Amino acid sequence: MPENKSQIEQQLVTQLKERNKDAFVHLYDNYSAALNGVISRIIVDEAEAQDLLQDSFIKIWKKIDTYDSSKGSLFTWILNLCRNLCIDRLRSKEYKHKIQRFDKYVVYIESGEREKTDSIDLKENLNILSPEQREIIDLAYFGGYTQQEISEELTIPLGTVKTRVRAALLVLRKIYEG
Amino acid sequence: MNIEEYISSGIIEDYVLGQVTDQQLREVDCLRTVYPEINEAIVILERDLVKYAISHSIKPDENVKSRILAAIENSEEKQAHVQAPKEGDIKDISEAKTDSRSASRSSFSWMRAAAVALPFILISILIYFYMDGRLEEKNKQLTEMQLKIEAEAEQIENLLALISNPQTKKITLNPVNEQLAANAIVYWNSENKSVFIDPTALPGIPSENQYQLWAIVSGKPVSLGVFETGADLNSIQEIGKMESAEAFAITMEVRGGSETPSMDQMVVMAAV
Repeated sequence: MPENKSQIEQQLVTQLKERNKDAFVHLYDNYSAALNGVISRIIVDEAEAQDLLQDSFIKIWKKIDTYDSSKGSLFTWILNLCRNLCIDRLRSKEYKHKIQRFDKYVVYIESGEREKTDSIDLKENLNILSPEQREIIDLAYFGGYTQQEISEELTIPLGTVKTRVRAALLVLRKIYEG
Repeated sequence: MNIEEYISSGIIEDYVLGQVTDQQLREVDCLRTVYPEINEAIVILERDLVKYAISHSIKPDENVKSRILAAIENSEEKQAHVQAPKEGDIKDISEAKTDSRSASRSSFSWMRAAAVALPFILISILIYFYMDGRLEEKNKQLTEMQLKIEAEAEQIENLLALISNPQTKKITLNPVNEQLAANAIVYWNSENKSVFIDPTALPGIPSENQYQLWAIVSGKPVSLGVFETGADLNSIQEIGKMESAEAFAITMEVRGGSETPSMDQMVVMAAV
């Protein structure tokens, strides 16, 4: 299965580099929800989030030539591209991160207020993570916070940040081991 | 190097989360190409995080998709002007697809056509309104010209009628000063006694002066009035009526005329 997936991905990359528009549509259909979800974690304003989703895909189209498959999966590349755009936007406008945003999101998931795709199982698994663990991963992964910044934001020692991050990732590892 | 130790040091997690220093980044970039175990650990962790990210998925609005595709079309068009089409593009065009993607493709071309046409349409509309305003003016100008021509034509007709009328007497007033190359013509209709003056050959004079026409009746000058000079047919004008006259003369007077002629300012005259 993994081989098939990687083959499909390889073909997709090749076609994207050839400027194949069908491939791009396929990319959008399959990845837009995930990217949108990530963006929505970082950018609270819906209109801005839409803008960033748009900008992300346009940038993907323009920069696909710079993607090097030896450096990681396509999705990771896309995710980073998208995440970096968000972080740049945040930094330029001096948004304020509010930790409670992440807490609120936990509520969203539990009450199912926002529409999700294909991720019921994954959603449930998230609850295995403790709120602190989720918080730290979100700050690091979605928010692009350095460990130093997290330490300051949450007013916990740097060492605690490190151990919490590792613990969280181990939990994720266990969740997705199957 | 102890690979296991390295992996469990936590640097892989930091690397995957983007929380390493530049130097550490380069280090791991390098080591993963050398040690497949390190690469494997990285890939697994990345996969976990990807799943984590996907678990937050939110389907975006449909309109975002069309906006993105339109923007892509736009940038592709610009590209096309700069470079020759690549093989991939040509392949696209010749491929025939019957699934929903071809519907979305035709919606690109529709939007693309609209996007291309719209500026032209706007410009056309602007030009139309601009020209419409200009046309009105043109029409006005033409109408004015037409009226003028008609008026002139009428005058010419009148003049011809006047001249060719057997009842009309034409009297050419010659310059008093023989050096002066000038004249004036008086047309006198013996039937209705109208007097016309043709001053077109009279020299221009200062604006504070004006020409005045006199008829000599029983040895005494009778004024027919002042008149303007001019080079065109408009200047030929009816100036008054005169029962009889022995001579006609034109003097230069102060503007508005004078009650008695300034004899030393006589320009042209003639006996009838």
